[in-house]
Amino acid sequence: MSYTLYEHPLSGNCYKVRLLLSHLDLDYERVSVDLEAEENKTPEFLALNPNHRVPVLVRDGKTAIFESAAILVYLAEGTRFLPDDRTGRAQTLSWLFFEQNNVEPALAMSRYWIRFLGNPPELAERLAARQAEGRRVLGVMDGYLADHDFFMGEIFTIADVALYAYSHLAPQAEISLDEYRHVLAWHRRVEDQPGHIAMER
Amino acid sequence: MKLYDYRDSGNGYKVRLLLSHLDVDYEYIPVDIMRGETRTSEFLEKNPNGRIPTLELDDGSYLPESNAIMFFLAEGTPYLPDTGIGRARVLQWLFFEQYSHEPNVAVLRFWARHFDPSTIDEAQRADKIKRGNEALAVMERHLENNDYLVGEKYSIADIGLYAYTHVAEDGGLSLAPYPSIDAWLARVAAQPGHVPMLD
Repeated sequence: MSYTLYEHPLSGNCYKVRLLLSHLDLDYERVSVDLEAEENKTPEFLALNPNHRVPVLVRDGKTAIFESAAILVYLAEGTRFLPDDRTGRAQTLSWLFFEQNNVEPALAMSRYWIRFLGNPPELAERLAARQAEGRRVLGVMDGYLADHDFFMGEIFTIADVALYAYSHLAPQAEISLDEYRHVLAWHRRVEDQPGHIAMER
Repeated sequence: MKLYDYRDSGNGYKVRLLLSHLDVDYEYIPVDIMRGETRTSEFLEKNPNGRIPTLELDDGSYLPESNAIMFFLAEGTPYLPDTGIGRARVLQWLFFEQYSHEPNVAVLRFWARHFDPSTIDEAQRADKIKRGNEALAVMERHLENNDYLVGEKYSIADIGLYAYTHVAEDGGLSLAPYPSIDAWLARVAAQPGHVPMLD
């Protein structure tokens, strides 16, 4: 099987997929999509993902899968990065949906507004609300990690891959991680996994 | 199994609709989100994220997140494909739902039904209308050529997107520009075991 990853190097959602591909030691071709030039709105790209977002994974040049978390599950099935029992799979998915519905909109959007839009004053109120939500979700993660090494207990899975991506970028969203010491300790454990790669800055 | 749910939630409705299709018995435990019942210490022990629906399994463990609950219930049934690529396609639509659709389509409805309109920021509402329409347009484009979201067969991907799409107009979005969505809504509602969102 050959894989092509359409992505953007500074996107945390794309980084999740590259991190898992590294852990799985899979070769793939990397295609950088220029979002400023709207390369994600061309008919060719919309044929891969009608929702015009990166990442998209294409298998064997023809089968496209969009949504980072769906790609993680697809690649992880049958490997140690996704539990092989029904309850474990569902709990892993539960963390992935929490990440996409709660964590990402808070931490990734705050980071995007600050780092890529230059923190415009007209968004100040909305940014403050997103940052407050960011602190709430980090609190949820910190509470869980007080008693667990990883999100599925003792083993490193795609739940950790997904939640690591934007939580380790929280300082770029101007959210200090100092008061989330269990999250910080877990970040070190994730980074100590063999096969870990850092995100480009 | 026990389902902790709020009756007006489309996320909870997804689970109730699938349980009806599967003809599974469960105990229904209403939780009033408008009275803060999902943020009590008792509820946060069940789901630290403080959200319904949350499913209590027979072993006493808790499973939050509507789409993860559906995946759990659908494994090994006709409502979830049994190939890796088929499951991935179902999940891509379910993650699309939670990231691009629900935060706009469901939140507009929630504001319309539970808040005084004068308290809603007009710029934020306009932004959600725009993004909600973008999500509906993505569905319309796909449903122009497909009877269902994945593999020409009714699955939890359809249930996941039906829940808030069929009540999108409650939040001020019009479905008139989306005839393929309209035809798909009718196909979903005609499935055996279908139940309405509100009795």
